Amino acid sequence: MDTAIIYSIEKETADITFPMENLEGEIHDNEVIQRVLQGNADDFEVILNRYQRLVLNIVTKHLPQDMVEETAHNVFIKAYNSLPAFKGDSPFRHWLSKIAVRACYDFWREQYKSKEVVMNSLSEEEHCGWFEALISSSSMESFKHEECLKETREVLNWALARLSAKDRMVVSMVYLEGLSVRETADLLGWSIVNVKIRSHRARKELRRQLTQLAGKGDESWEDTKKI
Amino acid sequence: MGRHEEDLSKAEETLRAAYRADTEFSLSAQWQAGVMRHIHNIEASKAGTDDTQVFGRMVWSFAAATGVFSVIFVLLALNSGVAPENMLANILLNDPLGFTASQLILP
Repeated sequence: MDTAIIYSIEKETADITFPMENLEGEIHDNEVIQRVLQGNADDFEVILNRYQRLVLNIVTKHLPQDMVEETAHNVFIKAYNSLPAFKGDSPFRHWLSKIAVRACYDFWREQYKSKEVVMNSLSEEEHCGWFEALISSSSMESFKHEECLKETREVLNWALARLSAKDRMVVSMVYLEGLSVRETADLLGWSIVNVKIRSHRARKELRRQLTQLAGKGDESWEDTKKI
Repeated sequence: MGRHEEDLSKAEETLRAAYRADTEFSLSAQWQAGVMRHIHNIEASKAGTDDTQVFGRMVWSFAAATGVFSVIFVLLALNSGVAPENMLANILLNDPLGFTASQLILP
């Protein structure tokens, strides 16, 4: 699977021995899974070592930092409990990615249901300041520095928190991460049409949020907001 | 309008870059041990329920056989003309002092 997210993970972990195929000296995933299913629970540690980076990369992209460890833990437990259902017709990493992505979606669904979506520490005025600073700067380079990056992420979280759980996942995966509609649909277990419609709608909503943000600091945006 | 579109695109691009930028996150040393401990607990609880599961399976497999046997027995009893109430009346009538009945009733 050549999704951007998995691709970036493979690049990052190129120095770690990750068996996509049955490489020399390594036990194939399917063999490890068979052993676990035969009752050797300790062998699951091999899976854990191989794929914790993959799961971590997916979870950190979607969830707040304080929820990463717990969610990654739950992903592996769910994978362990679901191992008998793993047929091996797709790579294990893809199967595990699905579990991780769906765990992130479940997290947001629960948060939105209980209305506990965490807003961030910055106020809307500060977000307006971020927007003004961005449009007045000649290049985006300064926004790549750690300090600005943190503020930009805060603005992003502020905007994402105003979307529904479904829209949030779709906009993160399709628009921010750069996955294809088909890959997103496969990972989330939704239809392609659903993802297509939702990603279009969610992106529009994200733009509307940004327009509102800009309009708070500059009245000339009022016309844009009406469109 | 055109300028605003450009500004929006710039903001979107910056947000996308921030999303894609690597975030430093490392798991604590206890994390992996915690996952493995949880898995061992699952295995232990599975082993604990094994006996009851086997017993449950056994009972249910016999339940079907017992049901079929009961139906056959009732059908045979109806066809052979054996009526339990007649047999009971017969015992009582032929046993005026109640010896047989008391033996049947008392343990």
